[in-house]
Amino acid sequence: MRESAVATIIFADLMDSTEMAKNLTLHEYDEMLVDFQGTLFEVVSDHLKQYGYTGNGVDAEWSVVGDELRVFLYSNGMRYDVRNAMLIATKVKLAWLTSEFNQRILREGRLVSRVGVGINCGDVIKGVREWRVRMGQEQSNVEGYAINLTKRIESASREGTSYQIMVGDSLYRVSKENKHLNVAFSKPRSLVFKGLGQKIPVYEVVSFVNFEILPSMPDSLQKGLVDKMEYAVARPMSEPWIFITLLRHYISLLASGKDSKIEAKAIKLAQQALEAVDYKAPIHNMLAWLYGYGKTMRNLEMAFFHLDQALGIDPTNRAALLHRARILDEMGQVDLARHAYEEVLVHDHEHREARRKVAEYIAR
Amino acid sequence: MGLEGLLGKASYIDAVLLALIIVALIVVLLRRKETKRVGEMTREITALQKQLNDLQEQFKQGSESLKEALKEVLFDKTRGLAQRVTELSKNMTEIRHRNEAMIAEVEGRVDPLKASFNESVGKLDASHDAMRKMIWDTSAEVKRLTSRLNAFTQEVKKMKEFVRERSIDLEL
Repeated sequence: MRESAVATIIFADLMDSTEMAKNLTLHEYDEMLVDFQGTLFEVVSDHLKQYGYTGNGVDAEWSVVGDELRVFLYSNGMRYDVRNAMLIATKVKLAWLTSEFNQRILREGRLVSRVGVGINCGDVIKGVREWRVRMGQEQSNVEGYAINLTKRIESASREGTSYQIMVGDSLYRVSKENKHLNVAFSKPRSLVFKGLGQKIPVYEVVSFVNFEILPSMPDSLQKGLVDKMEYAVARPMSEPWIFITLLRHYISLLASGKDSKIEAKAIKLAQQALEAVDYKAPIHNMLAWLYGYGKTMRNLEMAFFHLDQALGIDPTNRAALLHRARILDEMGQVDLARHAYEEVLVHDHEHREARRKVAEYIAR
Repeated sequence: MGLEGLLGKASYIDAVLLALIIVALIVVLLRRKETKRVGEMTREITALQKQLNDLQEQFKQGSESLKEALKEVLFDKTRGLAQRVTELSKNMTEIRHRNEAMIAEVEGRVDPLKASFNESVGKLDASHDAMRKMIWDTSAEVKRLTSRLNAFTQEVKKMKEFVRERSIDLEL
């Protein structure tokens, strides 16, 4: 039976694998591929299970061919699928960064092998082919223009400078509509892909702030994960996404009270991140959070400074507007705080805290 | 011729012979005295032996008479005791017979009660079992509910953490 579905499609592969195949011996290349495929299997199978996907063509399916991963998510909840696609993409990158292969490369002071990712949404047709059944293979085939487009988008990830996760226009739109997903994209690049005949806008993920990335990593990869990330960010030319993911983890530890001693460490890392990351707004917000809500390093003036920096980059940055309003309220600057909360409501007129606070100020 | 004349004519040999005669006389005298003492001692020993034999005879006679006396005393005593034991045994037998009769009578009266009691105990056991089963079932149910409640609490805790963390995500 063949049926159409709206799928979120992920393509991921090793960057420069052809060059590596040339430079490595056949045995070394095979060793790397085995490690990579094993990592993909661990991450994707574990993630789909954790997030309630049945798989096997019901609401998701995935495969690995050579150094390429393909994942199709079609759970009828596009926002859910997009969030999971973003998580899978980041987790695959993190798992590969912390793999034995890359850790060895890091120790040797060489540049690590990276994973390029392309994600997009679109209509697909899925169904089991008769010839496959006759071969004793009942997995479904997924076909559609969106798949070809996603593959092309993934090939553009080599041009990326931040997350090297490229998304198509449809995924960009879904993400922008989703208030519960803190993801930021670069300005679109219009690329002409071979065989598509027209310019296609492609966006690079420049920030993806999500607390689930580390805790939802497979148990088999959890051991020493944070240490490996800390080692990786301390190396020259480390990837910007590692800073954001690690900082978000530190903030989780501080917010939950699990480790209150890492405030200084987190601030130091955030300051390093300002040097390494192109899109600095989330880093300023994180610094503002650390200075604003920290215990040992609490400094409201510094928090205010970083919020101003974030708003300088993106004047509509809701997180920065909200924190600024909160800090002004705490500092007793009632008029400024009211104005700041009203500004939050301009961008999100349903914002509960802002509505409540503005109502309180009016009642005074 | 006087003594002086004799002494003047006596030779050394005569003097030695005289000394020998004197020594022999002394030895004879001493021997006679010793023989007299041995005779006295023999007589004393004979007298003592006689006395010993008398005493032995007396002891033998005393022992016999003591034995007889003891035998008589013991017989008298045990005869009285045996008599008392026989009387006691007789009393015991009587008491036993009376008890058996009483037990038989009591059993005759108690048996119906016992049957009724056994029936009640059976009923009680059954109801106890039912109650125990009910309690066990309830306890299992309570355990299951507690376990579900704990899981639910954990789930709520996780959800709270999730909401808190997601709020932080959106505020960064």
